[in-house]
Amino acid sequence: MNFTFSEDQEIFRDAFKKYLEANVTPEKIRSGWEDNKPFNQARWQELEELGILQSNLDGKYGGLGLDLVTSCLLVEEMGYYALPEPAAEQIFLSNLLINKSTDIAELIKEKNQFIGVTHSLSPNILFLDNSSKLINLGKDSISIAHSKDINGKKLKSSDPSRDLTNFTSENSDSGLLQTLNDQKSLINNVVTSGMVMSAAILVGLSRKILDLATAYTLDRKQFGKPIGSFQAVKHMLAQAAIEIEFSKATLYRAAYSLDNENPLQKLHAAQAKLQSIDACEMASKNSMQAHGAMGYTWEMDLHIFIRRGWSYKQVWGNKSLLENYIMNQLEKDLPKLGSTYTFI
Amino acid sequence: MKIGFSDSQKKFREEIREWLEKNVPKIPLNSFDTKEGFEEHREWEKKLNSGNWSMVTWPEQYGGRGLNLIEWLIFEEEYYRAKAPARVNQNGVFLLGPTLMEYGSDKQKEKFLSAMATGEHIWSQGWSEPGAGSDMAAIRTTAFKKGDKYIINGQKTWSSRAAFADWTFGLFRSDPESERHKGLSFILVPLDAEGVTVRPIPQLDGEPGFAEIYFDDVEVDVSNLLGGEGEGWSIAMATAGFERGLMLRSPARFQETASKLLSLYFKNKDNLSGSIESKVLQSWLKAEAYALNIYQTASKLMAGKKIGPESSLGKVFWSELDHQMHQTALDILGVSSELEEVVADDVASWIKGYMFSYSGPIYAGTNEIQKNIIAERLLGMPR
Repeated sequence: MNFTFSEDQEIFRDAFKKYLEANVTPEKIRSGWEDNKPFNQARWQELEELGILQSNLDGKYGGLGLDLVTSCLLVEEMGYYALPEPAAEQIFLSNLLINKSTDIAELIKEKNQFIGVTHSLSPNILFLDNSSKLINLGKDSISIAHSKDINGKKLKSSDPSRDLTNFTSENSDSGLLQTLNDQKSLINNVVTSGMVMSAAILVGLSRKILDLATAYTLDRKQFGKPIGSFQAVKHMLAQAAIEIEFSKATLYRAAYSLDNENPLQKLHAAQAKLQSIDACEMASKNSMQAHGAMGYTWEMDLHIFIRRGWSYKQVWGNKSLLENYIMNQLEKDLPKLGSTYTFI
Repeated sequence: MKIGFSDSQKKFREEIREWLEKNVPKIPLNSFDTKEGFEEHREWEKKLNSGNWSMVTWPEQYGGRGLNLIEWLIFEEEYYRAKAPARVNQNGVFLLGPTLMEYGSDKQKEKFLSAMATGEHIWSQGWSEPGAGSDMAAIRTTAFKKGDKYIINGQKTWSSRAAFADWTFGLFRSDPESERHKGLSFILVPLDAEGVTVRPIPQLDGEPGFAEIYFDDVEVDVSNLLGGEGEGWSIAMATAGFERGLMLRSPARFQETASKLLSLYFKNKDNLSGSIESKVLQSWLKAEAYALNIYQTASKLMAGKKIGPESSLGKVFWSELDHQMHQTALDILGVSSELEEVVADDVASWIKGYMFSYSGPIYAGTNEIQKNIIAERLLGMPR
């Protein structure tokens, strides 16, 4: 039992964090919004040069072949800095599909291009115009299409960092390259991966949202002192810190189970996603409150991060779906899910 | 990262499981907050000790098994699984024991540690006073040195286990000129000393789980001073750290409760509303999240990292969780939940546990104090 990160994992994460700190600032995110181009092609290139995009891709496809716990740490930081480009999706969805299916790997040979992935749990196409191909996961079939041939209606997200296109029956056949049948277990695997991915983003976002609030309450003075010195404010943010703390280990265990194909990986992923949703809701609500009216403005950066949480809470497994899944598992397997079975 | 148990850890689990299956009393003991139950639990401590299971985390040189934290968590999982008796000497084994090993003289270790391990000395805590609760630095009970004695005068309160315990440890003001955190000393006091009066205080369940201790010119030998004179505050903070930390709050307790709650829920499911289902699910999720966090923390500690104010995060989390789980169980039991002697559906233990769960957010530093610590020391917010 060693539930700690390796030095290599931490070094890679910290180096990536440095890059994000310098290159994914609220100003840059806002400028992408203003130009209506949240996907910055130059930054995507840099992510490729840094090895981030292909970090978990198998060596035989030109990737670094890193484990998904490392990926999880990277994606958590993408959440923290609200990276608009879909690098998390590339790692946890399309790279996973390529790693696990030679058929898919055969069809997708282009490097450094974004490959979109849709499923009923995340049906709207993300960054269609910036992708080369789209993989749609059905109930048990997987179809791969050329993005440029897909015409769909643009959808406006409450998060301007998300460029969405409607995926309808009319455009579902356009540009179709191939359909693979009998893919149920792979689809299930990608859904689990999507849960872990979105949970990692939410944990990163929560940390950032809390950091913004603590910084603000140190700075902002009322009644002659920083509002952070008032217990009502302290306790609100302390409660958020508690929720965040207790979402982390659940997340890392889920990433580890995913990486090791643990038979309970989906349960672990669902647990992680639910904990991270709670953490992000609490962090968002309480941090906004700590900011007062300033938090409710477009000018303050807080909402860049809060909005992102609204979307990631819902895609790749929302509360209702996850709760139903876990409750069913518990009803089936309760005797094998007690304290002496935490790590089986 | 490698999550999972090694072969030797699995073997250890089997070993303790086997011993507990053979030795845990078939009929539950009386509550240790009754005279009779207290002695039964003292016997149990002795029994544990006979199998070398009473202070498993103590180093071998002090008679323990020198278990690392992961093994300790396994031990606790098995202990709760076997429904083994509660630890009447937890103040001794888990709080004073580690403190003695760190700050005690060789003579003190020799005198107190093995007597603690066998249950010969059962310990109570002497921190709070009527005017010093959350503000512990407001302690006024004095222990002034006179020759080779300390003369103790004053009053302690909320002393857990003191109604029947043999000894108490606590903080006393040894420097008459001192204020607040300074001039306090950590002293060990036998409760049968002349001038000590113990007045038991019945708790919510009607049993005297804590007591007031009055000191009226009580003479204690100077050899009962732990650490240096005036160094009591920092020693007490280390002890309080053990209390809030994982030694006392191993996750198995909460996971067992969550599993019990789920069984109760599934049995009665057809008559229950969605809000109950949601709380039951939350209970299980949080108990798991707590366990995973503690395993991660244990791994970090074993890798040589330190934890400080982080333990406050856990204290708030488990105490609120424990309360929510018991409250939900009572909501499921409905009108029978108040029946203190009904054994079916574990009604009796749910209502007792519910009462006890009200104390979690209060003892070992209230959750409000913990949130101040989190805000000031982890988040860097101003005092």
